[in-house]
Amino acid sequence: MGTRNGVGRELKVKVKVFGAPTLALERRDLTIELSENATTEDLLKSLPLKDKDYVYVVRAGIRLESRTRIQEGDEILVVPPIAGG
Amino acid sequence: MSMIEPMSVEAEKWVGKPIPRKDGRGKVTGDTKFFSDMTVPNMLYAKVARSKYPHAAIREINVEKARNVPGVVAVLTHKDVTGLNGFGILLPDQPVLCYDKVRYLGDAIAVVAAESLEAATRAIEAVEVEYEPLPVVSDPIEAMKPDAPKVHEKGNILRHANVRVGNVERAFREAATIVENTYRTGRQMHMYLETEAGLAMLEDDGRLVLYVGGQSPYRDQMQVSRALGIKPEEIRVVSTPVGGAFGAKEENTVQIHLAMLARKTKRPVKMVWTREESGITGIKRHPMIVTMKTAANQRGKITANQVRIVADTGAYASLGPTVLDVAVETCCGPYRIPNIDIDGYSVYTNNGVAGAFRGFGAPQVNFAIESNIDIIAEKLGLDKLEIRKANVMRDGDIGLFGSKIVGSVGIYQTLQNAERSDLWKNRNIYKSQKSSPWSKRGVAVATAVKGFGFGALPDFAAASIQITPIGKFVVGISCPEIGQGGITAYSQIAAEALNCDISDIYLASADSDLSPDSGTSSSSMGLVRGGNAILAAAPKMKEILLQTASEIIGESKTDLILGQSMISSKHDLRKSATYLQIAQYLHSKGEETKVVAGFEVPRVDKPVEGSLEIPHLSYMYATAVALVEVDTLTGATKVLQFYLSPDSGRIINPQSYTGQCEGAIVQGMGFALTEETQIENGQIKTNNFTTYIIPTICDIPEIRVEPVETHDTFTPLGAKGLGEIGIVPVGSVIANAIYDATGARLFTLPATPERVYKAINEKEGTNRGKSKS
Repeated sequence: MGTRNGVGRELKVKVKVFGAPTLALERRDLTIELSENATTEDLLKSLPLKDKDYVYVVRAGIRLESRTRIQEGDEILVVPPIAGG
Repeated sequence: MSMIEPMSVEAEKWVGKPIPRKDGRGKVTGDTKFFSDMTVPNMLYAKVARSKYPHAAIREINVEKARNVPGVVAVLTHKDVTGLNGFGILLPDQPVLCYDKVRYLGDAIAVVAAESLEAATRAIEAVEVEYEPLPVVSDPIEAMKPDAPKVHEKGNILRHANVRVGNVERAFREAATIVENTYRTGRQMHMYLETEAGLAMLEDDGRLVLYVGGQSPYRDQMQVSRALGIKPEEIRVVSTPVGGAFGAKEENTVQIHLAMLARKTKRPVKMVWTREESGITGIKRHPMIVTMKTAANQRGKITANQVRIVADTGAYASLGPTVLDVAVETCCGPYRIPNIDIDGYSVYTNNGVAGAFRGFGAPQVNFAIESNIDIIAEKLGLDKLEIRKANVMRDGDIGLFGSKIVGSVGIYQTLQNAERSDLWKNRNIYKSQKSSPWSKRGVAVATAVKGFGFGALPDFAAASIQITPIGKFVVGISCPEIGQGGITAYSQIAAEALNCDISDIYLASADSDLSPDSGTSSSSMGLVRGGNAILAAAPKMKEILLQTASEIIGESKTDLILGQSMISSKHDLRKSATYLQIAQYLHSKGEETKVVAGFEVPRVDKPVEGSLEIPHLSYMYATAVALVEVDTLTGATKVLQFYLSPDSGRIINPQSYTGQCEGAIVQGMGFALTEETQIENGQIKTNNFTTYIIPTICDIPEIRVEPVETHDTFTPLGAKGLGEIGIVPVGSVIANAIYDATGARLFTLPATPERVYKAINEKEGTNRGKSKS
C-alpha cells in the first residue's frame, strides 16, 4: 500500500499503526511508499485510519507537526493520544 | 533507546542529592498562584448546569430564561458543540453537553458565561430541562444482568478481561489449603486542595489559550480540538502549576466547556468547580468487588489464584478499561504463582464516574491477595513475612503472563528490610504498650507491586534544551508539576547531564507552545518519561557546545573536555570557553541554540490477549509494616507507626522520594479507614469535607521510609516510578494489623469504626458459640 504523489523519487518508511482509540487497539506494521517530499499529513492520508485527526505521528520519540517532511528509512509510530496509569 | 547515554552511577553531583524543591517555597508561603487564583481584565465567570437525575431521558432543554438573566453573556447547549460531542481518554462516550439522556448527576446540560459568578449561578438555575426519569443502576452486580436497565445502549459491561495460565483446577485438587473470600473496597475521592479549574482566552489572532490544571497539556489539546473541530495547533494549553491531581485530572474536566465559551464570547472565561461540584462530578476511585480463591501447598508455596473482579466504573468509560487491566495484572501480588485464572469486569452504573486514581486498580486487589496470604500463613502455621519471602518474584523472573520482567525486581530485598526494621523486630513490645484496657494493638506486613507507564500501550517522550544568551539552559518538558517534584528532578538530571549548576537550569514546563510532548504526569512515569527525554537531548546540546568551543578555542572537538559550565583543551586548560562565551558566540552568529530529542518507551510486542495495557516490562515494589491500635469499644482504629520499604529503582532526590511515600501512605490511610463516597440510588451523600472524612495532621503516624535502591534496566535513567507504589499496600497492611490486634478479619474497606466494631462483635459471637458447643 502507499501513495505516489506525482513523479520523482519515492520514500520507503516503516509505520507501526495503533488504530483509532477503541477498546481493542488495532496494531499493524506496514511498510509504505511515499513521494519524495511527503509530509506527515501525506503519510496520514495514506493510512487506513478512521479518525486521522485524533492520532499522533511520532518519529524517534518526537511528535511530528503536520508539515514535517518524512525521510527515507524513517520508522514512524502512529498512535492515538491515550493515557493511563 | 540506544541513542540515549545511560547516566553513570558515579555521576552524582546533582542526582541522588536532597535538593530543595524549586517550587517548594512558593507553595509553602502561598505565593504560588494557581489557575483558580488567576483573574484577568474583562473576564467572565462560567458555570455548568448539571443533571438533576442520575438516569433520565431528556425530552426538552430550554435556556431562554437563563439567557435573560441580567449579566449573562452566553448560554451554550449541545447545539453549540462544533466538533464531536463526546470526550474520554480511551473512549469518547461522555457527552460534552447532553442531548438525549443523562447518566449521572454530574452530567452537563448547558454552560453559562456571565459578568459575575452570581449571575452565572442564577442562570444555570434558570435552565429548564424536561426529564423522563429512568430506573437507576447502582449495583454493579445487578448491572451485569441481561435484564438490567442499560446505562449505554450497547450494554452495561464496558469491558471483560480474562487471563488463564496453567491449570487452577488441578492445583486446587492438589492443594494443602485453599482460602476463598470476597472483598469490597470503597469509592475514594481525590480531594485535591485545588478543585478542577481553569481560564480560557483568545489571543489577538484568535488562537485559543487554556490555562488549566491538568496532567498533560497535549492530551488536553487533543480532546479540546476533537470537541471543537479545530486543529490542535490552534490551541495552546498551559498546565502548571496544579493544586493536586492524583489521576483525576488526566481526564477532561473544565477544558472543553471553557474553550467553547471563550470562542463564543471572545472574552477570557474562568471556571472553578465548587467542592460539592467536584465531589458530584469529578472522577473517583473504582469500587471493586473481588472474589479470590488462593491455594498453597504444605510449605506455603502459593500454587493457584482464581480471581473475579467487578469494577464499578460509573456512567462513562474514562480510564476504566485500563484500570481493570492493572487490577488484573496486580491481583496476584508480587508473587510467583504458576496457575492463575482471572476474570475482570468493568461495569457501567449511574454512580458518578470512576477513573484514574493513584494506584490505578492495584490497591483494591492488593487488599484481597494480601488478606488471603495472611490467612493461608495462619492456617499453615507459617510466619507472615517468611511466607511472602518464599513466594515473591526475583530478578530475571518470567512474569505471571509469560514475558520476562526486564526491569529490576527488588521485592525480596524490601522484605528483608522490613524484617530488619525496628517495628517488625520489636513488634511484640509495641503491641504490649496499649493505651487503655479496652484497646488492642496489632502489627502486620503486606507487599505490593505495580507497573509504571502504559505497559503494552505505545508511549513516547521528548524534551528540548536551549542555551540562552547568558549561558544558561531552558529545558522544555510538558509533564506538569502536579506536586510530585518533577520540576526539581528534571533540573537535577539536566544539570548532571550538561555539567552545570542546577541554578542554570530553567524548566519550560507543561506549555504546549514551549515544551515538546513529553507525555503525561501519570502512571508513576513522569520522571522516567521526562528524565530519559532529557538524557536523549543532552548529548545533542553537548555536541553544539563542543563544536562551538572548538571554533572559539581553535582545537578539534576530540581534544576538548567538559568541565563545570565550561569546555577546555585537554592539553592546555588555560585554553577554554565558558558556557556564557559559547552562548554569546552562538547567538551572535545566529546559529542553532536549541535541540529536541525523544525516546520511545520500550514495551512488549503484543499485550496479554484481551487487554490493552498489560504486561509491563518493569514494576515498582514495596513492603509495608503497620502498627495499629483498635478501640474495641468504638471500633476506631489509629495507625501508630508505618514502615515502608519501596523499590523504585534509582533515587533522583531522596527528599522528594520520602515526601512522595509519606503522601501516598496518608492518602492510603484514608482509603483504609475513612474515605468512602456514599451514593444512594445515584445520589451522592458525601460531597464535601464535612461528610467525607480524609486523614488530617492529627492522624499521621510515625512514618519511616527505607528504600531499596536498585538500578532499573528498563530505561537508561535507572529510576522507576514512585508516585503510586506507596499507596498500594496501605489498605491491606492496616486491615491485616486490625486482624492481628482483634482477631476480627475485615472484608470491606474502609475499615470504619462501625465495620470494625461489627467484625469484633461477630468474631466474639462466633467464639462464644464455639465455647458453648
